[in-house]
Amino acid sequence: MAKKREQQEAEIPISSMIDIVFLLIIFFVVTASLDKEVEDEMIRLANSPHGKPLTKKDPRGVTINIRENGKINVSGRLVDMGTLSAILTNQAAKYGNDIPIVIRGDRNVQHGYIKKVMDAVTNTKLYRVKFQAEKLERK
Amino acid sequence: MAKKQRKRMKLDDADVPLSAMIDCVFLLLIYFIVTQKPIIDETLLSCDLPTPGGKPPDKPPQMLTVEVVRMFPNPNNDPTIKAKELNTYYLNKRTWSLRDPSAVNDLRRQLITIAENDPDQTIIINCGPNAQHQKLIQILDVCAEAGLTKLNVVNDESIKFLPSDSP
Repeated sequence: MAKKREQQEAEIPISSMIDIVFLLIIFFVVTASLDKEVEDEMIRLANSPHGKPLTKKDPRGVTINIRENGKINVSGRLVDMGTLSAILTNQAAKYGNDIPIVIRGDRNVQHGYIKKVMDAVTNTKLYRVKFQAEKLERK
Repeated sequence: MAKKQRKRMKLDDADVPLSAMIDCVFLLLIYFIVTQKPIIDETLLSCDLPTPGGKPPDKPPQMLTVEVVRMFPNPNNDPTIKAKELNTYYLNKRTWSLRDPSAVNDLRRQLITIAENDPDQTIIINCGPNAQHQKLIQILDVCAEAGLTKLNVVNDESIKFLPSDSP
């Protein structure tokens, strides 16, 4: 009899644990989807098997997505050149001129569109431009 | 005995609704399976930009220029675009056709030789406005493989930009 009671007391409170686990799951679901918003899903990046592996991203930087048709997408919003310049100027005023600018160009976009974005970056006196690519061997 | 019975009743009440929980867990599992993306390793290729308003950098005498010229099929059959501008890389006026995969390897060997002689060699990549972005990435990748870090990407002003989706 005494043995049985001991066993019952050592039991884990499952229902409260499940409450906590669900809370944690919901927290991670919400934060995970926030994290990926800067990347445009429609872009297929070019391959570059020899580039340096991606290190941790600088949160101050701006990621500029350029689609195949030349449309520019910054943090989930389609913008024109004027708005892009305004965003860059704003960001440069906030954090300085050495913030990294990541250009995610589609593999088939014409360079003329990339050049327009690079000109906008240069005119804002930003200079750290990087092109993002996939680290895959060409098949 | 009656006490024992009551205790067991209490325990039964506190039981977890297992079947409902499994429903929930399966729903979550399916959600995660559907929304997951394959993890793709990504990389960043850096290049230098000319500073606006500043004085142009002193050009070292042996600066090399890699030109990436027109890579798109002629969209409007514009006769002013010369045939030699199609699918071509130039390195110091030497030409490599992009259609030939061994040409890219040849270009790679050239750049590796350059990097062995002087890893600080500035390479100017003169990209035509109609070139596909992946051709530029390809050149940047070859330069990264060779270990060249001083890369300047400039736009070839002598070629007219013809957007491929314009009428």
